[in-house]
Amino acid sequence: MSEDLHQLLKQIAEKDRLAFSRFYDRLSSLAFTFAMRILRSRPEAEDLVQEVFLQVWNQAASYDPRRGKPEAWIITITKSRAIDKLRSRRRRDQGTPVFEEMAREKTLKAGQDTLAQAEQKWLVEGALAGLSDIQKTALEMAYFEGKTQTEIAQELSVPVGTVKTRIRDGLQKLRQQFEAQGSKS
Amino acid sequence: MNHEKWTELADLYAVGALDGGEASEFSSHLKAGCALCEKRISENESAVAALVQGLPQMEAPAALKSKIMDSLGADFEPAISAAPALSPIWAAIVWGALSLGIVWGWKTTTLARHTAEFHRMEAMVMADTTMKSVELKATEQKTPVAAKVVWNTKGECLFMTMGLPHPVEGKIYQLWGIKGDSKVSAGIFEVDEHGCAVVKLNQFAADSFDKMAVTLEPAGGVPSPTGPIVLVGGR
Repeated sequence: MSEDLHQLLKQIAEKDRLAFSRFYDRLSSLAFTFAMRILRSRPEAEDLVQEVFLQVWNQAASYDPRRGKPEAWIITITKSRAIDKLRSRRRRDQGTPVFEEMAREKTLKAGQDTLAQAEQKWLVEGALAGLSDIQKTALEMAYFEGKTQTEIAQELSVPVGTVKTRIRDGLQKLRQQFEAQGSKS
Repeated sequence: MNHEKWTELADLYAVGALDGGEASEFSSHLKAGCALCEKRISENESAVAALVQGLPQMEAPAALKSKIMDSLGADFEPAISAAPALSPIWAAIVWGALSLGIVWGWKTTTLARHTAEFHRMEAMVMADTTMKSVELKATEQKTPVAAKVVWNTKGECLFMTMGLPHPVEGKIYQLWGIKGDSKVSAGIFEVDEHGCAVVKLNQFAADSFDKMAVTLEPAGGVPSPTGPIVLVGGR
């Protein structure tokens, strides 16, 4: 049964542990996946997920649905904490750029993905297809690697203004993609 | 500064790219309150969050959930198992309840003297992967009430509640299983000073009912419900 995450958050705000348990079941993979992508370390990702969900437990009452879906809230919390950790250790990962890796996931694994996941992947591929490589790179360096516009500019040897433009143009395309999808559904 | 400049900063802020003077400048702008920027940040966060949701998902380790659940209450006591006839989790629950002077069974009452103990038991129940549950909601929302009936595949069944007000003199709470027009009593119970009760339900086939309800009845209980419904929940 698909429970309303907003309702679960209301119950968590009243310290309902069963609601928390269900909320965790629904979103822990999302937080863990994202934490792993940023930190590239399982122990650190586990610690981070614990911190994120304790924050949910303690601050569920402060969740404002006007600021976005619970999924987006969890992602924002996870990102904020993960980037803090990442910046503190300043370790650069040598992995495959995340956006490129996702874009290569062309084939949906029938029988392994839920319909929602399959649809989401389709959306991601569509959104990524609309971004140029330089936009993907700038967004990835900021969002997944926690680099500031100045750091990105130095690393790419381009002016800060160029980085700003690439990030903003990429974001604009993402917003358009998901707004268009939202209006269809 | 016109607002287009703030919008630009909001975009960069949403992905964490702002730094230096612009970061502090925009932070002050946000603290002063700007609905346009809040909306812009939210839109950006949602768009990028959707990308994250599209990443191939990785399952968090199973043990992590228990660790997190345990850390929710700092005053939890370690689980103690006993009574080999019961699964470890349920044995720990029974042990915990007995340690609080709880008496089991029909027409008996149980008092959990500490809310922490209630939460400890609840956490243990939730750790049981065979567990099923029905959550009961208060029909009147004057005070927050938590109540659940939980049971496992072995037929062990527990009712837990917290936050119920003391009934007026001469009245007592009674729990019912409901299927269609049939209403079967699961027992009467009292609550402690915290409104807590933990009751083991003997020979109560929770799986066979569509709904559970708590009514307020004359002291001693009744064979069929007569009083107002205080809590109700269904599967």
